[in-house]
Order: sequence, then structure tokens, then C-alpha cells
Amino acid sequence: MSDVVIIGAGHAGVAAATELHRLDDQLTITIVSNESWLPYHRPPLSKKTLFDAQPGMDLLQTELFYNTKEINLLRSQSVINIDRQHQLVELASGQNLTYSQLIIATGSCLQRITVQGGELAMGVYNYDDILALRPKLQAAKRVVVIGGGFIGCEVAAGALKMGKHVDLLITGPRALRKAVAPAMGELVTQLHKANGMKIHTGCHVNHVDNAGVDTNQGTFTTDLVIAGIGVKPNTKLAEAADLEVDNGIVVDQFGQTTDPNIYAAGDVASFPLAGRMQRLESIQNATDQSQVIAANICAHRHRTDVKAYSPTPWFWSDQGDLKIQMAGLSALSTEQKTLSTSHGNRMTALHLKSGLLTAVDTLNMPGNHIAARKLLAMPVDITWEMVQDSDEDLKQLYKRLR
Amino acid sequence: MTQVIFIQADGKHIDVSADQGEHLMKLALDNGVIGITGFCGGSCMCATCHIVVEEITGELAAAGEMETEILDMEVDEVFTNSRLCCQISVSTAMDTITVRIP
Repeated sequence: MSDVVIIGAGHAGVAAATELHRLDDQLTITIVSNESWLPYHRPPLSKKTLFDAQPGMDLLQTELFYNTKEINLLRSQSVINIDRQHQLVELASGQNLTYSQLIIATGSCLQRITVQGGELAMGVYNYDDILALRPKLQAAKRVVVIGGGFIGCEVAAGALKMGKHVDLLITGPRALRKAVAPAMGELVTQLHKANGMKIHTGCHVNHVDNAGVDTNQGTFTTDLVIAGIGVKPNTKLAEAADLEVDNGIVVDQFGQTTDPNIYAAGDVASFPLAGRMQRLESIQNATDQSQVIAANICAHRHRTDVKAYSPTPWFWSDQGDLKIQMAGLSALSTEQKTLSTSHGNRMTALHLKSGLLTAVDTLNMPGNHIAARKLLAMPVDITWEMVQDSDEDLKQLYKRLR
Repeated sequence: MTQVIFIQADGKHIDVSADQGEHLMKLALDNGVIGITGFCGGSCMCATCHIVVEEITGELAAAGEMETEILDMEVDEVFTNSRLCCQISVSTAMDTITVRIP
């Protein structure tokens, strides 16, 4: 019997365990991981680990953390069922784990390209993927990367730096179309091209075989195909348990699912933010949401006040020498403006909705990113006029308002 | 080998020998130093690996733009020798370094 069972040992699961243990070191916690490794940081995988001469993982916690009498990490175990009525989790090994509270932090899994031969395209999601991919990448002279989002661009930029010939195939008109302002996506595309990356926009894959990738723009011969076309939430267990699922496990602002004893955190959770249901795939979200849930579980157990999760989301991507950072939610914006301080490989783009600031994308302008995170978290609305009145200097604006 | 000494907020000293190229944040995490979270995994995106360099024999490269900006904006109390330890890697030019977790 554990007080809290956590399914999943990614950033969300481990952050929840860490925070629960910090708040109440008497709580017994079991984390179920389907991986054999100690839990590790995921962002470096596509930014660094894949290309390092000496690959290694950055652990989220030392092994010692999981070897206490309160925290138990079960590795290489998969959950086959959640029995809500008896408050227990059934493992494939036959073991049952009972819980007072359950946190589902099952994360997401790679979308696969569905064309003929699509299974030949390798993915980048976990450390096992890196171990499988590294030797092939080192041996390859030519690499085709399918997908112009963060993972595709990061992998393509890393392979380019290793001296590979890289073809990046993008269905849209530019890289990072869904992630950043159009002007920045265009600049990033041009900067990668200037470095020697072959970027093919409007490119649709017909099929993949051992010789190469056939597309509407011809065939790209290659030694290795890598696909980064997004992820989907791992909701199967929640669906089977009849929890509400709609593009992720539906939770309220406290992280609770439709079962008050079950919470969901990280990539897999869909939660209310800025007037709509939102699912975020980010370290910030996995960590912060888990910390709120941990606090709410303790509050529930000790009958104190719960708190709502209302973050200013932030994201980042490292692509060769480009550091791309995003703060806020750009999806609902209707207008973008580029700050006049942008030049060369530096840019700051603001997203506005009804004249109010909703998000800021920066390229190699870290001061503006940090300032944007602060500004967006303030209880006041930020207008374009306020930005102009501060000489388009976001840091100055923040220091004036705080 | 470089000797790295972490001084936790509770006063406890944690002494580690490090090879060239190792990052202080990873050393801290691998050795269970309390007060270093390394939330972003060393990408210089958060400030959960803030340390103060107390003593160093040898050389230490200065903070870069990103690190300076984060220290300026994210850290409540910045000290003269405040650094983000994810941005400090051990070099052959560094014999010993003592850092305090504020």
C-alpha cells in the first residue's frame, strides 16, 4: 500500500515525487516506470546527447533518492489497468499497487509517419532511441530529417554540425510554423540554410525505402531517415478507466481528473488555461503542474487549502548556435510585431491579441525572454503602446512596472 | 582532476573530484547536493542551480549573456560572485573551486 502511486517517471512523475517528499517526508510513494534507466532529463537528448562523443544521461535524481523507505521506483514495469473502484493499479508482472491518490504522468509517444516504409524512419523520444540512433548517425554521410518542428530542427542542426549532409523536409512554408511568429520561423529557416542545411519546404513524403525518401519534390537519397513529426498523449489507461479524455486526460485547475483520487500531470494532461483547454508539451509544464498537484494532494490529506495551476508557459529549443525561447501562449494571437532591436541572428517577436501581449518569441535575445516571462506573469495587461514607451526594451518595461 | 567543494545552505560540505569538462550542476545532482534542482537540465533557462563562488584556485571563465540575464532577472538575491553552476565546467586551469548554495 502506497499513499501515492505515480505512473510514469519522466519530468512530471519525478517532479511530483520530489515535491511530495519535500512537503511530507512520511508519505509513501511508488513510481512505476516502463524504462530500465533511472529517470533522466529529456531535453538534452535531441539537443546534445545524440551528437556527443561520449553519450551519457543527466539524472533527475540520484539513485539514493529512490532507495529510501518512503520512495520506491519500479523500473521496467508496465501498468495494464487502473481499478478505480478498489483504488489499485495492476502491473503486467501481476503485482497490484493500492493507492490513496494516483498521479497519471504517462507522457506522450511519437507520432509515426504513416506512408509506406514509414517504419524505417527513426524517432527521438527516449534514451533507448538515442542508443539505437547514435551509431547509425555516426556512420551516415547523408541524413534526411522529416519534420520542421523543434525536434526535427534540433536533430537536423546537430547532424549538420557533425558534418553530415542534411536534408530537412517540411510540409509547411517554413520551419517552426506552429511554434513561433512567421518572421522568426522565416529567419530560422534562412539561418539554417546559410549554415549549409538543405531545407525543402512544401515537401510531402510519398514513401520511404532503404535507398531514400520519395517526395513530391523528387527522391532524396540518404543513409539515415529521422522523423520528428510530433507526439500524442498516452491516454489509453485513462480511457480504459473511464476518465474523461479529450486530446489528453481532462483535469481541472487543481490537476484533478473526473475521479477526485486521480490526478494527471505533464504532456498527458489537458487543463484550463486562458479560457480554453490546453495541453502543453514542455518541461516547465511537467514540473510546475506536478508541483501544484503534489501540494494539492498534501492539502487534501491535511485538510488545508488547495491551489490552482495558472502558469506562464515557457519553452526553449537549441538548434546549433540558435537559442529559441518562447514565453506565453501564442496560439490565440491575432497579430505579431517584431521589435526594432532585432538584427542579424537576433530577433524578438511579440504576439498580440486585441492589442494585448500574449506571448513573446526570442532568438538569441535571452534578456527579452526572461523579461517576457516576468511581464506575462504580472497581473496587468501589457499593450504595444507600453512596449513602445519603454523604447521597445522589455527589461526596462518590467523594471518600470514591478 | 579538480577538487570541487559544495557548501550546502545547512553548512554541510560535499567534496567531489571532477574530470575536465564536467559541469558543476551535473556533479551537484549526481552527488545529491541539496538546493540544486537543475530544472532545465543545464540549458540556462531557469535559475535553480544558483551558487556563489567562494574560492577558486586557477581560472574560471566569465558568465555569458544568457547567464548574466537570468541572474539579473530571476535570482532574488544576487551576490558578487553569483553564478549558475550549469554554466561552469571544470577545466585543467582550475585546481580547486568552492561554491556555496545560498
